[in-house]
Amino acid sequence: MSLTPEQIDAVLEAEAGHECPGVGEGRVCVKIVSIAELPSRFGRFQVAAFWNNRDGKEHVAILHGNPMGRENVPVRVHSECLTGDALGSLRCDCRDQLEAALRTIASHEHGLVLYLRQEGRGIGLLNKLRAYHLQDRGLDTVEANLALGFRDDEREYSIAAHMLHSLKVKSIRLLTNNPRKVDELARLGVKIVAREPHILPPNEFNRFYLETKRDKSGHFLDALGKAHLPEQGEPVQVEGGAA
Amino acid sequence: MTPDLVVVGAGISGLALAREFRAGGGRVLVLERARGVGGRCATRRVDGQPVDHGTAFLHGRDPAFLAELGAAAGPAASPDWPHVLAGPGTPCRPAAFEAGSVRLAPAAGVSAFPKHLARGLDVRLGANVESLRVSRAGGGAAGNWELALSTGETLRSPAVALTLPAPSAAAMLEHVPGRPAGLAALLPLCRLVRTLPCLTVIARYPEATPPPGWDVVLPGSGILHTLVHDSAKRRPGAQLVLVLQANPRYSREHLDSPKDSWSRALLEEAAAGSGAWIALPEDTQAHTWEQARVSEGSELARPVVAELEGGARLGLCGDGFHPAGGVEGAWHSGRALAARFLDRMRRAG
Repeated sequence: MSLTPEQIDAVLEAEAGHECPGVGEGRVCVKIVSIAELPSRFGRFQVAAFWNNRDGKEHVAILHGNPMGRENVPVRVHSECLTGDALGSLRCDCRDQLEAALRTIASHEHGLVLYLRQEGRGIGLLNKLRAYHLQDRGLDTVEANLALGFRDDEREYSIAAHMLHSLKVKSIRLLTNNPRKVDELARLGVKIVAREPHILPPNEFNRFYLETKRDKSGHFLDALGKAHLPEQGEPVQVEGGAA
Repeated sequence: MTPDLVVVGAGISGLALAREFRAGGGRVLVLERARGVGGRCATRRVDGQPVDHGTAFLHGRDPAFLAELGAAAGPAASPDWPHVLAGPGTPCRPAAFEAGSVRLAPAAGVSAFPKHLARGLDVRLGANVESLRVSRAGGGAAGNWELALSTGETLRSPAVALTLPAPSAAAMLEHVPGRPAGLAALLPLCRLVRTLPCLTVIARYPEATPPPGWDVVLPGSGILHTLVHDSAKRRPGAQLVLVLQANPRYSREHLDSPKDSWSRALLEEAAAGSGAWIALPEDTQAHTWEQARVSEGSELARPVVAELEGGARLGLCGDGFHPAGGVEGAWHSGRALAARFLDRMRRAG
């Protein structure tokens, strides 16, 4: 059962009066300002829109069932990727990850996808495309990525932690292949009862891409040990392949 | 004494870098090609009166930056200048007029700020760096930069910072003999930073000319980008001086045209829009800024450091290496580069 209109009204009224000292070093505070039905090709969801005190970025949570006040809620934290999510780019696997996450939460009674409007890990679409441009010219270095503004994910985790708090989620099962995400969210007070591998179903077009990505040694290192652009995607686990 | 760092360029970012580096315990030498410090934060004297022919006024929002500005400008500065803005055009940096931004115009000219930053620093004026190369003198010793000056002198340092506009820095790096791999990778990065030229006219008017009712006009169309009532920033009794700055496109197309022709065109357009008297100055001076400013949005997020084989370090900073851009961005990027150099120096022992 999703949230009833009465539950939605109660949440919005409580959220309107929400004030807090903020989460993390950046003192991030968010508030739910609207909740609406979102029937989708992946299932019947509701979507909650968040205001935040740091910038004009409008983050959303996609809800399946009613995760409010519940334990062990499956949660996926996804960062916006226009080229992947909307345009189907094969430079990353963001869309595959998002679709898999939406299918997963739809298959559970309750679940959440936090969709953070932080294109390119906070560097913005313009700089992400400038990084792609440099990659096209064969330049892909840590220094270049730093100069373009790739930065630590601290704020991303603070926002996610606060969104979970606003949604009154008591504990989560985090869908991720990235242990650091677990550590960071736990550090910010999120109770994580399990980390569940986020497994993507390969298809004929992306199997090679996914398997190549999986087989590369480290998170931001390519096969030659050269640091590469930290895409939004994570280490990949592919159905039927050795992890 | 061999400096720990040689800074090429005594603009805002170079001076901020040197100041912060020295405050952190490093030995630093600044080389400046021109006869004065400040780069595009420039003031010249016309008949003894200061005229800002580059940056027209200073602005910022960061408290540390504003404190430094305040210390430099002294009491004789016009706060919130320009007061009267006319015309529908967009300023070079619209952020200067947004809430939370503080603007300041020192009576002594905007160069009061770089002069303040340069105080106590080892700055060599008129020092033109002709070439840059990496040497490994002493066989196996740490790599050092060799800077050949146009005077024939050669300076050595383990670290060099190029604080020139990004395209000029790239041009210099392109000519480093042997094209070290660590440098080649910086070239396409530097080319992401796009600079815009600006043709500038300084026009001085007869004593009897009544002052105009505006501080800055932004026509928004035509060839004139900004018309500044420069003498409004000076003490009472100053002679009426206007500074006219052409838009980037016109400037680019006329970089090689005779100064007289574009000076006349700019004065006539200003006269048509803002008062016929503008076409009749007592005298004029023209200045060509080939790289006046960074195209908004093309700035990088932070300064860049390359460590070459052998340990020689190269840094790049400037208004193209901080998202705020402009004078404030330049200042921040210089300080950020100093922090990175100091950090590496400490780690290297």
